Amino acid sequence: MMRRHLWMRRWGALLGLGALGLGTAIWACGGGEYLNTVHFNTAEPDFGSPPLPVEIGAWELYQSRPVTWNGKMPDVDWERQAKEEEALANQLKVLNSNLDAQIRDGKFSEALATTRALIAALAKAPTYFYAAQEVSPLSALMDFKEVLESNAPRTAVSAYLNARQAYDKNAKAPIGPALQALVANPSAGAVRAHAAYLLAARVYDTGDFPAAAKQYRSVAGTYPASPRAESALIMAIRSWLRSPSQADDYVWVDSPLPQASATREARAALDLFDKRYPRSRFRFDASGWRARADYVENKIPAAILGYLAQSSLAENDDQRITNLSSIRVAMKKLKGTAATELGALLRKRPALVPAYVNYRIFYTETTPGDLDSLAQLSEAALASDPKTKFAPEVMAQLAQIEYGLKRWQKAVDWASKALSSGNDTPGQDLALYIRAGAKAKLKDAKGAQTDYLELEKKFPKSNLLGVTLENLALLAEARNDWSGALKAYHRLGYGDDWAYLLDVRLTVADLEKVVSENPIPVRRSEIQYALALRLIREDRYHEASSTLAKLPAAEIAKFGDLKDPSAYAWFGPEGTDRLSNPMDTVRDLKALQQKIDGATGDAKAEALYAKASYFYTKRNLLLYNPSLWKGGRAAIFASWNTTIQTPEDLSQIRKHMAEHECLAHSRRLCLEIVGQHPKSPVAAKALYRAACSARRLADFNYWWRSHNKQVDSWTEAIDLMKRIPKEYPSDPLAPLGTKFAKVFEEEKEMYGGDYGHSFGWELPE
Amino acid sequence: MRWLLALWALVGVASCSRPPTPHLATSFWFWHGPASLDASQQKDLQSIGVKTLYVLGATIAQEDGHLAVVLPQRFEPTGAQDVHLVFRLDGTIGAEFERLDLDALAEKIVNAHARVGAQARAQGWSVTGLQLDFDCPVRLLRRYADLVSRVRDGLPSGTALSVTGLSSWYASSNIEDLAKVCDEIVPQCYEASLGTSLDRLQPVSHLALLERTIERAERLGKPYRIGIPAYGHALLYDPSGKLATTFRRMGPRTISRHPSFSLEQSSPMNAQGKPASSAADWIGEDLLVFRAIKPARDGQGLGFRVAFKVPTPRMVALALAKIRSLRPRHCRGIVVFRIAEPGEDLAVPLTSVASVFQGTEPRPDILVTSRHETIPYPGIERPSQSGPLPELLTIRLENRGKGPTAIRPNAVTLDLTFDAPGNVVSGGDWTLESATGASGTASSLARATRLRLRLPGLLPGEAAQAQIRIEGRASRVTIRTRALLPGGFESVDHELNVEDLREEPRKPQ
Repeated sequence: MMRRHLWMRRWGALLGLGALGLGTAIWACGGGEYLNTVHFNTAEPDFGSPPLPVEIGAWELYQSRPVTWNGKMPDVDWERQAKEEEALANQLKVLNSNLDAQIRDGKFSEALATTRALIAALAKAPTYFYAAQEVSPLSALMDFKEVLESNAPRTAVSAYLNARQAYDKNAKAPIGPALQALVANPSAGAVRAHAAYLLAARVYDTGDFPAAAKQYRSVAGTYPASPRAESALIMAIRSWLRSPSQADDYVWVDSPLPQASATREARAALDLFDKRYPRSRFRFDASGWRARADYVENKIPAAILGYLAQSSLAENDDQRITNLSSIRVAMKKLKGTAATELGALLRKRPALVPAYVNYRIFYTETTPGDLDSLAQLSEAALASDPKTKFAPEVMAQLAQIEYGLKRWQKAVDWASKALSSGNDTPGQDLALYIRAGAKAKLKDAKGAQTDYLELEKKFPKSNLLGVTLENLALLAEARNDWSGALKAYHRLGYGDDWAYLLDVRLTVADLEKVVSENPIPVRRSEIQYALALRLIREDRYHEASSTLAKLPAAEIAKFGDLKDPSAYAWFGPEGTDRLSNPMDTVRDLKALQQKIDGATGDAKAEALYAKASYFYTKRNLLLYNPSLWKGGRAAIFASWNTTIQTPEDLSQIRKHMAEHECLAHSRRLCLEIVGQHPKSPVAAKALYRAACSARRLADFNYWWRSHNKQVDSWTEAIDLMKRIPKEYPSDPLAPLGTKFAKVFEEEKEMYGGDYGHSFGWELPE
Repeated sequence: MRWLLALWALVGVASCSRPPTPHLATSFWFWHGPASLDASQQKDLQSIGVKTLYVLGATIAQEDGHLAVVLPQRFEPTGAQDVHLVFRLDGTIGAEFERLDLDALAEKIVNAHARVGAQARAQGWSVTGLQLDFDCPVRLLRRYADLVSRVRDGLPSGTALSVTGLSSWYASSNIEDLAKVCDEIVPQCYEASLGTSLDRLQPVSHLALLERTIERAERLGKPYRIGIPAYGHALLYDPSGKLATTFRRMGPRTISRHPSFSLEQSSPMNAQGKPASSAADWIGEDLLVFRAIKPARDGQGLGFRVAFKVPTPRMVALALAKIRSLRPRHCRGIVVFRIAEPGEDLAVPLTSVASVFQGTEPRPDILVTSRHETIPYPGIERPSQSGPLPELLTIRLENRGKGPTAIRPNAVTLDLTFDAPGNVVSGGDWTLESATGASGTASSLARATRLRLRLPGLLPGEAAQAQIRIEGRASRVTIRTRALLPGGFESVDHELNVEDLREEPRKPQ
């Protein structure tokens, strides 16, 4: 019984009613799909299409992006990573403390070594590493390094480093006079540039950016050979190009924009920067500032192209985020003809198309039409310049876009290009997956199989492994390689598909072949048990006995769930829905069949009726396999995935339903009696029992309710009942026949309409 | 029509010629978890002088004689009010009450109070009382009094002890035994009948029961508080109209958007559970009935109906007016069931209840704003196409008032009239109800110039956003909003014109 927590007062009795299942109807609310299956997958996906990122909506999961991220999940040993980070944090702490002491004690060569070690350690730190905030910032360490590497006099070095450290602790520290003294002192040597730089930084800190720009520019001009000149120049550019109102480096302000004169100065400085420092460590920033200059001058298309070019220079997440933000801000300003202009410029610079496509796919909303245009743009870029460098994972995503647009050959082409980049590049597994799916669509099953197997072998930890196995299972099924399919479902843990194959889809001959091939040794007994039940259903009792004889009694009890035979007796009348030991079942049926085979005339009819009654009274789990279905068989067919069904699936299912249901057996046997032994003393009873069997089948479960469209069990039950008073007017059952014909008609009226409709199960016409 | 003012006028006249009534303290039941109040809830409670909360501490159940404490409350910091922990004795206790060991049961309750109380105190709450919530049969009231007495013996001295009560208890003299062993009885004067079939559905409120109970409680002459409702219900009925069970899977606003359900009935209710003919007839609850037009995933449920009794501030106002008009001398206060969970549409928002107690009618106050931005990508990617670039129009509605709108599928409607077709609903919280052409007939989205969107309601403080992607040549739009008030008798309307949707068109390359 599903426990319900009723906060409402007084109506605890309703818990009982809820237990009948009436209140447990669950309309999907917030993700009710059944996805861990192939044949019962309620999402009915295209299995060749890789799973897309999903978000949870109000009552379903919906796909939020048109492409998979990059098909590669990082393989992180979290415990090892935590240990490494802890070690790094300790190292930084020790180094920082040593540096302070060394500077204080004037041990400059040691301080230089420590500074270099700190810089190297910080380079290994992950983004937003907390311990990095506890040590001197990288900008300060670079400054220390440059000063300590210079030939400046020790006194000057000492004075500067002390001032620098004071500044790092407190930006408002009163170090101005000390710095100015150093600048004014020619014998301070290389330190003068650093002192001048720090003075400019203090002006920057006050928010007077024009003054700071001037001062930084002066440093770069006065000390061109100093390593500080590079930093000073970029800081001058930065000061000119930021909004005069922007006080916080992290809170972007776009109004007012810098003045035209400031922008001109910045451009001139950028030209100088590019000339002097072609391989600067600030090239990402310089690239961005150039784009910014265009933005400020309202040359938005040029600005966007600049930011797209900048994206290839991003070396870490911080820079990638900054770049994306810049693109997004600039895109918001793009209007009318400027958008067309950008398109034209982009086509003239195909090298920037990959960055644009990446931005569009992952950071904007796209329509199918947009994806088509992006794919065409990419093709045009490649055609225009074959050297255009699409990252392998972007090519894999383009393959996915083409797959989504049903352009299978183009999907193959892009995927192959991605795969030609080499094994270690990201997106290889995605490319393989897409190519396999596209090949399958092009009816190249062998090629698809090869690619899926390669994916499985080369990328065993890929998050596409599961869906790869799904496809391998489907390909195996298509070529009747049942062992292969079962192996795949076994690895996936897809119990319902496993059950479907063993209990429904495979013929007995197929099952016997699987037993002999023994694809999964640990489950051999389970497969043999399934075979035995299938043999019983086909009335092949001797073979069933022999098969069961190969299994220990304990295993039969386990697979038959015989510990509690009434475990599934939820709904039926008293005494029904009890599990049986198949050994007993086969013994009983064998004996009943022997009586039938040995009798003639009325005796045969009686023997048939005895067998029919056996089925009828021992319904409905006599031929059920609980180890496979675990109570879910009736409900699962409501989720049947029609998109992958084959005619063989449907015919096997029909056969299975007729063989599995005791009521179908009792109906068949009773109709045989009525047809072949109409004058037998049991004929009227057989007709009555056939009618009751048909009635029960009419709304037995989802499949049978839908099957009424092909074979109307309601009408059959009514007609059979009506026949009793007609054909056997003096039989005691005649008045019951009249009565229940009417009852069945009323019930058909009440329950046989919409309620009898398929619940997601549609049979073909 | 200001129904609350009318109510207050009634109360004012009634009060002139009678002796003054003792002050009625206001408290609430807090029935969900974890127990915590945010700053705005605290403000609302303090604005109406709430000093005590009755917080559900746990449910006590039994199976085969074994007692269990189920779902004990979890407290988070912190409230400014005193807390009386409520322990619910559920139906499994009721079924075996005559046979249960009262000492064991009392001990269970007292221990649970100590444990849950300790957790509450650790989070800064002040726990000063215990309340028992038990629907005891009238014939067993003496036994119940015995239990309460044993509980009293086990509690630290100074702990307040009260019990919730049923109106029917007052018909029995045994209630005196109960009144002697506790500090207060708090009769809950609502939900007299659930309605075992859809045609017999009754509202939660029952003003006649409230009046009767107060009269009886006054006759008893002992101090009491009176419980009034501020909540609603959801019930599931089978295709023949018989009650199946309560329904907790979805609230009315969620079900309004669910593709498996269709609205069958939406009306204000009168005291008999039938559609109210006018505002005067309205009991302060609205009835929504949805029919399942598709089965659930397990194949069941087609044709079932879900009936929501949606509470509104008026139900609280009517109960309050009734109490004040009766001027009960022994009544110490009013306890409201219950404080709404955040975003819950089957309980009256706390801020609305507070307004009612302050004598103000809580009304929604809808602020409508819009903005639009160009979508440049088609211009970049499809240079051969001409025409203006698409615009993304975002319309935001925010309820800044103290009252909710109605709760029903079309509680808030947004009518957009463009000067040209080609406008697509892009995303957001709204459902597209209709698309019509210039002639007013139904039309495809590509040809529609009028779009109607709907939203199933806005609680105080909530906002909702509609996004329209303007693909065609529309340059102007008129935005008309209508928000129905609870009951549906009134609405608040707004109109906004946006004139500059378009800038210069692009030229094809």
